[in-house]
Amino acid sequence: MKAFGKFLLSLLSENPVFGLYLGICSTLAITTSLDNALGMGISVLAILTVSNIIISAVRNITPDEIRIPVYIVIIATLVKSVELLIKAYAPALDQALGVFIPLIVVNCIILGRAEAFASKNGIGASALDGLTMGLAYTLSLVAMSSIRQILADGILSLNNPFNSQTIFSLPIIPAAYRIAIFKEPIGAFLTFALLAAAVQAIRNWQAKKEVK
Amino acid sequence: MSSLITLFIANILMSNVVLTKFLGMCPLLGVSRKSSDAIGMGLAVIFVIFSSSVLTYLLYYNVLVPLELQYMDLITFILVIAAFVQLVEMILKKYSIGLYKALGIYLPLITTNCVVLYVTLDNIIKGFDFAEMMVYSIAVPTGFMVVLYIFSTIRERLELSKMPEAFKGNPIALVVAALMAAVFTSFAGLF
Amino acid sequence: MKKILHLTVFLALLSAISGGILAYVNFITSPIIEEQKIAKVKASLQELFPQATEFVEVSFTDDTGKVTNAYEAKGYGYAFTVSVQGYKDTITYLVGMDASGKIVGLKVTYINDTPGIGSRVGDPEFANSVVGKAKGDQVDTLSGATISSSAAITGLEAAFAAFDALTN
Repeated sequence: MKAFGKFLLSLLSENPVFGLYLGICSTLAITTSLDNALGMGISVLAILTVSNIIISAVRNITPDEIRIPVYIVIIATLVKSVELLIKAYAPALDQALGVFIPLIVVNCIILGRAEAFASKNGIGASALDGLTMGLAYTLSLVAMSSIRQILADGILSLNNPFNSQTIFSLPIIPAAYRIAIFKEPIGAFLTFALLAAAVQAIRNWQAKKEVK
Repeated sequence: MSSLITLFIANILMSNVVLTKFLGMCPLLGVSRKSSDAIGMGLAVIFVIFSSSVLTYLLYYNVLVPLELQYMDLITFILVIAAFVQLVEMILKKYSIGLYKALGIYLPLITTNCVVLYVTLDNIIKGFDFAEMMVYSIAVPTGFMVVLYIFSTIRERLELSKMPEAFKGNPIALVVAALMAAVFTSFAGLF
Repeated sequence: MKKILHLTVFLALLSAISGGILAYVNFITSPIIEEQKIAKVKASLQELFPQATEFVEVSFTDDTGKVTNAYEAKGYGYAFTVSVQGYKDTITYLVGMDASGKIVGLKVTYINDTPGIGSRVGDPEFANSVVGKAKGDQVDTLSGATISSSAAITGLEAAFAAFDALTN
């Protein structure tokens, strides 16, 4: 139980999005609905895990001087494949995420983990690292999009991206009290600022506890 | 002609790439502490985006399309951008030490600036002709520079302000961004 | 020199492999993507022309750049995909006209304007207000959403012009 609590705390205080400010462009842009957040999160999770595995597998034969271009080619290949697959099998998701799918290439989390972890560690550890980081990223997106969707639409809903059928739809806030501005850029920045401040507060609190 | 002017102004103000598309947030939070840095970074970004846009646009329509290799666009574009940035860095280092010292530190950061890749991809997705592509590729990074500069002047003052511990640094910067987004949206009434 | 050769060969090999993988993924997905594109328009076209059974894409002329695609519902009329700049993003809609050039229906396929304001162009109120109109008829803007709705209306004029060019 205590270990789980520690895990949860580290998920918050070492959160790649709200703690380290990695991959925030897409976080701000696509968190208007739970559908988009899950679609984006799972795409990044898959790409991050596979790219970590491949980069770790070729780490001993990759010449050091050109490692960054090599990583970029590997990541871009994966991203383009995912983009084509989403276009073919989940067109609704493609419509919603648009240019942000190819922009996963420059999501700092992926290149960051390749350079900082996968290039120095074994395949198993790298795969695990990709999964954990991807999960943390997905959870951050889900948290932020839930807040924005509930405040702006008053409804928390999830649709199946492959056939656009509604999986669940919970009305939470009555129509008269919805705050449409949370769908807008200003709402994205505000929600992000508050979540980042919360994470920073947790970090400060932890740092104080350690000093004592 | 008027549509080109509209395209230009719209992409600096109401469709501002930072405040409505949220791209280029990393340099915005990272480099925007000093207003002189903001201008240097902004100019470097305008130069890189414009040149790599022209380059990728020509490559896409003259090489990839005839060969039916459109699905190689992402890899081609990102490699062109990375190589181009490297090249600029080398040329500056060799021929203009002054300019290199001023812009050099920003150049490596630009490769991972998503605005560059966004503009090159968007030129193709939006189906721009050559003139529209050139206007768009100047307007978007100019919008980036405008926001970066305004943002940095506000942040210089923020350094001196009192605020709750938890908001120090990036969180308060994001609140500033939220307010700026609200202001820039209201430019939409211009047309 | 040997080092540079080694690096070049490595990068070339890597690019070849990645090109191969992408070619394969593209080969599998491209027919499905094409199908998805037509399928999406087809559903919207069917809504505009419930009785029509056969739809074909036709070539058209348009000087404004607002009309992006034209379709013929065999025996019932024509439909045009129109893309215009709204308040902050493009608005894309499909407008159907019968053989005499009267609008039979309008369906907004993409809109990203301010919720509750510009987004109202996507509501049935606007679509219903244009049904039955022909070229030269007065179409009213939505009060409170003037910019987005008047943009949509200039798109209609472009569609009428394209219709005239098609039928004459």
